[in-house]
Amino acid sequence: MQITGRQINLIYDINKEDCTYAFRNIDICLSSRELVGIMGPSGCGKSSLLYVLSGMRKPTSGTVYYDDVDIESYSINEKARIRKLKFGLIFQKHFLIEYLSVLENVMIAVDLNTEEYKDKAMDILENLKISHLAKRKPEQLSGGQKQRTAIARALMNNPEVIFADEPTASLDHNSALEVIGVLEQLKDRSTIIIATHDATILRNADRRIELWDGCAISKV
Amino acid sequence: MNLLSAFKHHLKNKKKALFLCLPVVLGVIIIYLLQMLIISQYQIVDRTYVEPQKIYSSVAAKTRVIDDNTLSSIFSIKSDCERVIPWVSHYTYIETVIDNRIGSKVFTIKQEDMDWLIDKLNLKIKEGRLPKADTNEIILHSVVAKNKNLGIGDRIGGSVQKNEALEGDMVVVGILEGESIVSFDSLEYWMNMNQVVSDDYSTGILIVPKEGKEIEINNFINKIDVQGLDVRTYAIVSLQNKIDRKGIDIILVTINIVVIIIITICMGFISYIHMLQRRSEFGILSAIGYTSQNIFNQVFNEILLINMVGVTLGILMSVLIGLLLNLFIFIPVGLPLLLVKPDYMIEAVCVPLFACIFSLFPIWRIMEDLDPIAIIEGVN
Repeated sequence: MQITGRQINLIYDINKEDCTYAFRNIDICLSSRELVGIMGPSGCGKSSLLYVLSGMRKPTSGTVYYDDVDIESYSINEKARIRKLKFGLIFQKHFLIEYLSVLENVMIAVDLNTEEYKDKAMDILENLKISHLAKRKPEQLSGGQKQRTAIARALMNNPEVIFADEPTASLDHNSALEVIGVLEQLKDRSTIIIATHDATILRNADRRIELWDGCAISKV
Repeated sequence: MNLLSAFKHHLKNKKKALFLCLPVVLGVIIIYLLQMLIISQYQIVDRTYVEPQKIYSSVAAKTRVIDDNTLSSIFSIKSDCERVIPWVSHYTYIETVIDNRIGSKVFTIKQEDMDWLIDKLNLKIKEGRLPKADTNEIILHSVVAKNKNLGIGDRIGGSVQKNEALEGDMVVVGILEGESIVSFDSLEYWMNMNQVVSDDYSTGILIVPKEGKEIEINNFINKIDVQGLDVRTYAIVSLQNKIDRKGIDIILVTINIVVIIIITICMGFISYIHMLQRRSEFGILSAIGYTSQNIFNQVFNEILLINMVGVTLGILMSVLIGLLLNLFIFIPVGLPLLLVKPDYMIEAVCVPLFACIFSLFPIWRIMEDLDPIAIIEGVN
């Protein structure tokens, strides 16, 4: 899937006297099977850009296209369906469901409890080196283990595009590199967009977009 | 089974599910037991007061005797009647658990009519025999006998028991069983004791219409000048019974409504808090592609299941409580509660029904305001 953003702006508090730009006039094109890093300090608009590109938030102006189709032509439910079937989303916080086990948390991405999906989820957990924790509840996991579970959840539906917002924020540096390594392996079949302020985890990124105060200041 | 099925959710959150169930269980128990107590009492009243009247109409002198004109006009319709029975109206009382008394008819009739009327009322002699003519013998219904703790050979009457409505000193010679709770004693004995020398029919008449002649006879009886007379047909008795119950029915309905309102508010409030605590769960589900409709359906199923389990548990517990009440309180006085009746179920089901509907309103609002980004960013 190709995701294109043309002159997209996101303004908070638009009805107030002092409105705030989350980002302004962003032109972006994400091709299939590339790893793109969005970098910048806290509050520069990285997360907001991911929300807009993933269809979770409507831009104030400008247009986002999925394979040349304006995403505003999709209904809310159609956008949700695209997110469920084609996207994988990873957030700074894990947002695991406390009463489900690690394995079940991974499988809610597909909400089907079949042996086939169980095996698939176990493979992903194995890749992330937490398969031995499959039966544990989130409360029994460390911060890093929780985040790996959240990453596993994002990979469960074989996403065409993975949006990762500070996915390694709660991990130590070595764990962060391991997790990024797992994401890098997926580059052959998915587009991966990682928003982070840590340049070291984007060493193998195909491109890096730097945001400063809502504006794209450089592209690599 | 889907991972987010309502059953699975409750299975993994047993304590919370039980806590959510409690108001429904409690509400169902209150309504079910209240219905059980009142309707069981009603049923006894029906069996003593209304049920026997189905086969006959009656005319009784209130103070002195039935005048000759009325008597002759009643006899003019004798050909449409299966039987016209001379009778004196007597009562004995059944003491209920909730401190009130229900009058139970004692038919004081001639021995020749007794066997016939017992058969007509579908009653059977469970024990002993019928009273002999001109003796102080009585055959009691089993419910009355059990209630008064009397058996064959025991004595009953105002002369031997305090607060007994039945006059004199009668000896129990038989026990009856059947739907109508009525007893019988001898008219000949009563006439001798009271030195009544007038016509047999002058104190009261039971008129049993022939099949198909009921409406005709009742219409005729309704036209009788009721001054000084107590005239009753099945329609009059049923109507009177309904009027007597109106007050209790209003109280019962009011209690039911109050209970339903309280439980509904409780359930709405508890469900709202429970769902608020799960906002991050809904937020992430929404973010990863579940529609609001998916999430709402999930929550609806959870609430539905809670209410279904609540009503089932409530009914089971009510029946259990009813069984215990019967065992220790009601069966010993011969008035067992009716444990299962569709009426109780219908009233009890109103609790989960309303709780379910009103629980969904606040949740629907949560879903409407659900902003996954705000939840992800921890804004609210």
